[in-house]
Amino acid sequence: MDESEFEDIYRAHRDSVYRYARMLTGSPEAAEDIAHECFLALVKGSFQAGRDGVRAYLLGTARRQAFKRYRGLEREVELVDVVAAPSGESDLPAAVAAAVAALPPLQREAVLLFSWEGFSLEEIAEMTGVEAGTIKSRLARARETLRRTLAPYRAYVGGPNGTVA
Amino acid sequence: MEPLRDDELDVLLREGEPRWRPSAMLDRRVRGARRPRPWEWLWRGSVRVPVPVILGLLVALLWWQRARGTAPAEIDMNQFRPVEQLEIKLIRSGDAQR
Repeated sequence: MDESEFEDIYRAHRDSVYRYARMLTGSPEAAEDIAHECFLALVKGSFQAGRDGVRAYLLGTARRQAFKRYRGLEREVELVDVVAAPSGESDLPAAVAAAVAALPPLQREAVLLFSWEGFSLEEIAEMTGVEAGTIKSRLARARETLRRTLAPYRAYVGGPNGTVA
Repeated sequence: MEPLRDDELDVLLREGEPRWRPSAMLDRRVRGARRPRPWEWLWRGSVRVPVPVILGLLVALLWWQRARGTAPAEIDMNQFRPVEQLEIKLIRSGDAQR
């Protein structure tokens, strides 16, 4: 991979990898470390352009790094306890981020990858190594929780076409 | 409070997507790690050589080794010594022909 190709990939996926890592870990510093490791892995590692989508490769690496980080501290893989619970922010993005962050880790991951990163259930299943049906049920449970948690923010949703007020 | 409908939740998730960006430090770290220092090439660098060149070199090496094996041994003039006991044998021309 030459310099310009790497630069294109880095610019296109930097924010996405960082945001995903930050949602998983709840820490801006840890997210930057993980993003750094992901792009180094892309340069030095096993990425094959023909076989893997680069975004799936980067986010899959970020996922492994995030979980490894907490295993290294000999903790249960309970990333949910390092992020703040929703606390009635008036700022919609902060409230949504907090509500998603408060979900159990595997449900949170399903929401991140499906709703924000736009992966299909099958792609997420491949990335996470579980059945697509399992991802579907995690997503359904997460959405059920979010429907209740974010209900106070209904006022932000405008007309029937879903415009934000 | 009544839960949100699916379409309402989709709107909130779309509009509430966090726009977090990493600091400039990440750019420096990633780009810095990407550019190897010149001396690192001596340890980690590699050179691509076309197969015909390698084959040509192998043939040349084999040819050189064979040529070297059949060549007469090199004569060192320092190995010459005076004859310690000279025994002269006379051969007549008739003996030589016989």
